[in-house]
Amino acid sequence: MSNELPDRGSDRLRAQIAIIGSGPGGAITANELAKRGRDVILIEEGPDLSLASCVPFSRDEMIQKYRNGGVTVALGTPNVVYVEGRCVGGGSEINSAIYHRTPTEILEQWSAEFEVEALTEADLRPHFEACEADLGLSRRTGATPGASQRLRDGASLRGATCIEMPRLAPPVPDNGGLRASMTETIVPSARRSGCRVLPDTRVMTLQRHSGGFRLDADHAPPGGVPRTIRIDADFVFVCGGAVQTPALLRRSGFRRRIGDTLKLQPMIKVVARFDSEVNHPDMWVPADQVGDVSSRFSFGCSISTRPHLAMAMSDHPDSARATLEDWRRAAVYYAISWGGSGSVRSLPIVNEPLVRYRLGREDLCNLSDAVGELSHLLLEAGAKEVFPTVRGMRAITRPDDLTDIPRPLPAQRTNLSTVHLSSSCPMGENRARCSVDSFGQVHDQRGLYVSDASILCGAPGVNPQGTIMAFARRNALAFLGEL
Amino acid sequence: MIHAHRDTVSAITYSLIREECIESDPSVSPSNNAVTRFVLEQCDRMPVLLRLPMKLLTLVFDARAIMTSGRLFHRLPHQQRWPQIERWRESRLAICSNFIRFHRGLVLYGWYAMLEERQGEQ
Repeated sequence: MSNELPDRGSDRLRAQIAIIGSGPGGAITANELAKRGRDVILIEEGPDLSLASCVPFSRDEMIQKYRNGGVTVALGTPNVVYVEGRCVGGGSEINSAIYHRTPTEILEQWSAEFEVEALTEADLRPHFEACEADLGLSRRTGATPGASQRLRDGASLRGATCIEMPRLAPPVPDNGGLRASMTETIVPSARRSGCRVLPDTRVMTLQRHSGGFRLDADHAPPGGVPRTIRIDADFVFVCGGAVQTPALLRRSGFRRRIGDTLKLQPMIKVVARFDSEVNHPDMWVPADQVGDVSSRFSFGCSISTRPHLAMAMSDHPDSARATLEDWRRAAVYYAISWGGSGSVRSLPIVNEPLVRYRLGREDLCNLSDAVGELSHLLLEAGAKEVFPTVRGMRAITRPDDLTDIPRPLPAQRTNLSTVHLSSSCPMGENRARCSVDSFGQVHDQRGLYVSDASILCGAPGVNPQGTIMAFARRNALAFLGEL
Repeated sequence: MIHAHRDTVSAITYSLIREECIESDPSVSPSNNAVTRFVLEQCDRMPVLLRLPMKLLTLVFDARAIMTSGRLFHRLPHQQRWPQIERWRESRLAICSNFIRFHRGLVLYGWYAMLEERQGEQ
C-alpha cells in the first residue's frame, strides 16, 4: 500500500478517509477533515480543471465539465433533462452560484417528518456562517440587467416581490460569469492541509475489507493508460450527488432505502420578447428571483445567450429565427416547482444509473399555474410575446391568452429540465423512510457515510448548494466528535 | 450502420442549419461540418441507455424516406428532406417529435455557440 498517487506509479493506495466525489459536499467534508489532521484522499471521476479553463455557460464548459455532455435524462412522462458536474469541484464549477440558506420551515418539516436530530436554524447557523466566510457572498455592483429589471417591474405590478439573491462569487462588477467554486476556494484549502486529490478516477465498487473498506476504481488520466487501482480506507464518505451516490452504493450491494426517493425541482422555461433591449452578452445568469407569488413555485432569470435562447425556442420553430435575429430584445426565464418522486437504480453491465421520475396530475397543474403566473408577470412588464417550452403551444401575447394554457400541462408535449436533484438517500432516525442517520452514516453500516444532496429529506425549494455545504460541515464535525 | 448514422445526422444538421439559422457574415459563420461533428460527439457522450435507442431511431428515420421518396433520407436533396423533418416534428407520436427536437436543440445550440466563439475571436 502506498500514499503516493497513481501518477507516481502506485496502483494500491491507503488513506484513513476516502471521499468519493469532489462537489460541494465532498470538498467541504475533505477540507474540514484534512484541516483537523486526518489523512484524506478526495477521489473525483472527472478531470481536474481550473475554473478559467473555459468560458462560463459555454459549449466548452458543457463538453469539459458536464456529465455525458449534459445529455442526461430522468425517464418519465414527461422526461426531465438534468445536468450534473463531472470534474473536480462538481456542480459548483458549472452552476449559477446563487446562494440560499435552507428556509427555516423546511428544516422544521424535515426534522419532524424524518426525525432528524440537531437540525434547527440555530444548529445550522454556525455552519452557514463558516461556509459563507470561506467562499464569500456578493451582490451585483453594476446596473440591473434589462431582463432582471423587467422581472422586477412585472413582479411589482403583480403585487409580488423580486429579490436579488446573493451569489457565491467575487464582489466585482458583472460577476455573473464568476463563481467562488470549489476549485477556487475549498479544494486548494484542503490541499494545503494535506488532502490528496485524485481526479480521473471512477470508483466502481466499495466493499467491506479488514474492518474498513476497499474501493476498486478505474483510473484514466488524460493521455495516460487507463488502469484499475485499489484504495483501502478506514472510513468512506460517498459524495457523488443525488444520482451517482445511490448508483455506487447499490452496485456495491448497499441497497436498503438507497435510491428509492429521488426528488428534483422541475423547471419549465419561457422566452419573452420585448420591444426594447433586455439582453447583452455579459448578462450571464441574473440572480433575481420571485418567490412570493405562490408556495408551489417560484420564478427567476435564466442564462440567455444566443445558444441558450436557441435551445429554449426549440418548441417554437416558426418564431425562433426572428427571436434570434433580434436576440437582444429576448430573454429566458424559468418557473420552478417541487413535485413528484423518482428512483435511481444501477444498470448491470453498462454500470450506468437508470433515473426514473414521475410527476402526477397535481404537479403538472402546479407547473401550468406557474407558466400562467410568470407569463402574466412578463406581459405586465411589457413582453410582446411569451413562448413556453411546451410543444405545439401558441405564443402568449395578451392576458386573454393565459386561459389557453392547458391545465394540467400536457405530459407528452411539456419539456422540463432541472439542475437540482436531491433526497435519494434521506437522513434521519425514522428508519422506515431514511437511508442514513441524522449525521450521514448509512444505517447499520459503521464507517460508511453519505454527504451530498442525496441526504436532503426533500427538495428545499431553493438553490440547494448552501444547504449541502452546511450539512457537509455539520456532519464532518459530528464525525470528528466536535459538534 | 455507423456510416448510415453519421450520414443521417449530417443530413439533418445541414437541413436544419439551412432552414433555421440566421444569415450571418460568411467570415464568422460556422461550418456545417463543424456543427455536424459537435452533434455526433454529443450523441457519443450520451449514456448507453439513451445512445443506442437514439442511434436505432436515427436509422429508422433514414429508412422511412424510402417509403415516400424511394431513397434513404441522407441521399435526398434538401427540398425532399425538409418535408420529412417537418412531418416528424409535427407528429403526434412523442418519439418522433422528440427525435427532431433533440437534434434541433443540438444543431441550433452548436451553431450559435460556434458563431459566438468566432465573433469573440474577431
